[in-house]
Amino acid sequence: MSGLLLFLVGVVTLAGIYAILAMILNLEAGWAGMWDLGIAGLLAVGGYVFIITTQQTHDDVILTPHWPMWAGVLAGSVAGGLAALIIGIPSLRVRGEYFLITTLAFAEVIRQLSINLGSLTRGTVGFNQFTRPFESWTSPSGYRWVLLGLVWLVVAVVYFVIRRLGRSPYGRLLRGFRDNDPVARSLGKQTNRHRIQTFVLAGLMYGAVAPLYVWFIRTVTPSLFTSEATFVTWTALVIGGIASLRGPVIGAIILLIVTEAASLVQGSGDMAVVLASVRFIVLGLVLILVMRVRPQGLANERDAFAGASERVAG
Amino acid sequence: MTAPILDLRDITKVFGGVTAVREVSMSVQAGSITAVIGPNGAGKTSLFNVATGFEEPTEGHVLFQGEDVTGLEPWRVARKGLIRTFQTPTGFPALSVWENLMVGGTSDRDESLWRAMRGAWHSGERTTNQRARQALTDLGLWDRRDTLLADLSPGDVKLVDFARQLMAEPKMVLLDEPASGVDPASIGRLGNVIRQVREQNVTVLVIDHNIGFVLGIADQVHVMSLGEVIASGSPDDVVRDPVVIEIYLGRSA
Amino acid sequence: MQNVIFGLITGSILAIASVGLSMIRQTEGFINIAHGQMLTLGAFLGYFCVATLELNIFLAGLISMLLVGILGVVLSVLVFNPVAASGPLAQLFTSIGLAYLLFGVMRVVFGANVTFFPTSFGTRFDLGSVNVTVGEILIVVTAAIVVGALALFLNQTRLGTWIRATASNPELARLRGIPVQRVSHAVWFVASALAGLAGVMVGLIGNVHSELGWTLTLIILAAAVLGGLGSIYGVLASGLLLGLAMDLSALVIPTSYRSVVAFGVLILGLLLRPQGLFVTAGRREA
Repeated sequence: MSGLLLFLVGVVTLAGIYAILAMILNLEAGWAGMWDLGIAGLLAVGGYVFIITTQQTHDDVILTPHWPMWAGVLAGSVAGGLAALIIGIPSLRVRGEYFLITTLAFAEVIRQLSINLGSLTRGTVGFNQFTRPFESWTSPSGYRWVLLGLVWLVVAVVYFVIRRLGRSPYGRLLRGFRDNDPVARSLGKQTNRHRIQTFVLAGLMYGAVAPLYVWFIRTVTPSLFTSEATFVTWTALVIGGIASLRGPVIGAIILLIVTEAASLVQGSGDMAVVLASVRFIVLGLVLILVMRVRPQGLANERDAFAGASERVAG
Repeated sequence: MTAPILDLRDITKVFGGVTAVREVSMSVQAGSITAVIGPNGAGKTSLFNVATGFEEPTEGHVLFQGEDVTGLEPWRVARKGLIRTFQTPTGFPALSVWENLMVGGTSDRDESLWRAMRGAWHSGERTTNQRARQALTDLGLWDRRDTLLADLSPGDVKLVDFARQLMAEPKMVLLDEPASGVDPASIGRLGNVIRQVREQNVTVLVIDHNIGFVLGIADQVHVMSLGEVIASGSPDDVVRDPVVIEIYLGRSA
Repeated sequence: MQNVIFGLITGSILAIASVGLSMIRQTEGFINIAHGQMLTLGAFLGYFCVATLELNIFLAGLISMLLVGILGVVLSVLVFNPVAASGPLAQLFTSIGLAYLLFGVMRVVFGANVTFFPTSFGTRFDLGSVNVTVGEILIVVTAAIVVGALALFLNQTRLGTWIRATASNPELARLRGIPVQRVSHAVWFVASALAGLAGVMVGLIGNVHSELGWTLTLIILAAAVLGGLGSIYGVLASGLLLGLAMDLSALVIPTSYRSVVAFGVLILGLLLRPQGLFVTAGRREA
């Protein structure tokens, strides 16, 4: 029984992490219309900058300033924003599918760099011994509850931040030019500037929350940042309802529970590969089915923003 | 005679081997309602695009309020007070009627990301809301303000689009086929709105196929065909011009 | 010079794989992310034929092409056509789902280990100043033959002409009475078969493992996008170009950066010419 509980705690924690990622994605893709397939790359930048700046000295790494944790999180966030700026300025000159592929390419370049720049990142070996926040508060086995609480606290914070942004005139403008850029420009709106700002904001946020992912998995290796992270985030958003408010959270919870349920089955060593593969099969099936049956997702944009005119007093 | 508010000088637009606009010059007097009519392919929309910065002219200059705005980006031209509408697609479909108007009327500062984070946009929003409320009430659309633009009838969509563009407080509006797709009942309302706009000292330049509609509201008419202006004058003069009649022979208005 | 040969080999495989992706994009309207998994399937089927059934490589290649081609048509009918009305983004995400599904299934069926073809093409010999194996020459020759056959098919046959018409303007093609469903089946078959063939070629010169699909999908995408997604000759050319770039770059930078070079070329290409390197007229864009 306790094994099941511990497992559930892990699933819900991971669901929370993906809920955060999906909410950020919703801002840049759902509302601003930028179909970003490079999330894993921005996470990698944030995660690696965090771990490199806060880690103890290793003999094989050239940079170990050993900053305090909060400084590392800040550094990771800034790095994410900077990476988004570097990626965004050229990428936003192309649209639609080309933007998709360019961001995907950038993410892959980042991952390859993380493998090859071993003197910075320790290559495929990565980092696996680091302290996590509040670790001294509980026993090692109790820590998973602390992390669960921390992650979902961040979920709440991000939810309110994203909601505030979505309901502001800025958010309204995004949803406008997402669908009709020429009309927005005919009203004097600098839509390119708004896009790049949103993209950089997303980068800052991805970078800031990357440490959560790092603390959950407990290692930092390039294999953490494959396109799988990107696609799982997208799937969560799409299932939950793109451009809605609650959709990202709902989608993440449903998706993670469904895909991780397969791991509940205990099996022998031979079955291990099969079980690991089932997760992908389920992910794929869920995505296919949702696109077939309810491509707009569970929650919708219409409901999320109904009553906008009432919220203005006077 | 005062200087024209919009002065198009020798505009030529060539693309892909086609000369869409050929040495067109046109001046629009402030406070007037001017119309540009002509069959499809006459170059009317290209002229609009050049005037508002959506296309760069191959040759020629656009002067707005005495200032050379040739080749400026659309958003810059708009900020100088020259606002246009589009034939299609016309607006922000996922936004409600009210939200559409609010976007038109919100200032750059209130729409900034920084203000969004701080939540400091409320006072500006209240002011804009009052203007939007007035505009929608005048149009009889206030009770449908929460309807999404995508759910409105085409006639109402055109009215909302027009109202939204006016929220940007232009000095001059360029209307691209405002009557197209509008049911006959709403065309009357459209004409009234345009006249009201002129009363507020906003200059109007209209392109449309619907000659009846255009002749009913315009002070001055220019007729274009195959990229050139072939006739100009009051609606009565133009209607009797033999060249114009020939152009329109056999064509549906 | 040796690197040029390697580049040609890589490029040939890339070209074959990318052409199919581009064809699907043009006639069906979306980017099929699952294309890379069809390639992986081809590699696994090829391995199965050669290692377990002990067939010769040519037969293995043919069987792979046929089976993957048929699977492509079946999947298009079962999975993609029902979503076509929901738009290209729904189709794109469906293809991502299918990619994961195929990936998972292949891992279960074929295992997660790395294997390679047990063939006798491994002996190296010298041809002038370069050093090649029979297998590598076979790849380049086969690629050339296949490309030639494809060009003939597209230009000289009725079905091929229909495909080209649908690719340049699907609505008009439908109005002119071209049997759209038949064209669709043909395109899916050819594109998937080519992917399968590319998979067999990959197996011939390298390893066969379940991760193949993901690593190669991005590079294939790069080649297709660089070539302009719609221009078939453009895609072929950019496939070769990318292969050459990747292997020639090994002269100056460590080989572990090979794929970085590919993406670097893609990013640069898109920035300089957002519509693709070889496109002259505007095609169906997103």
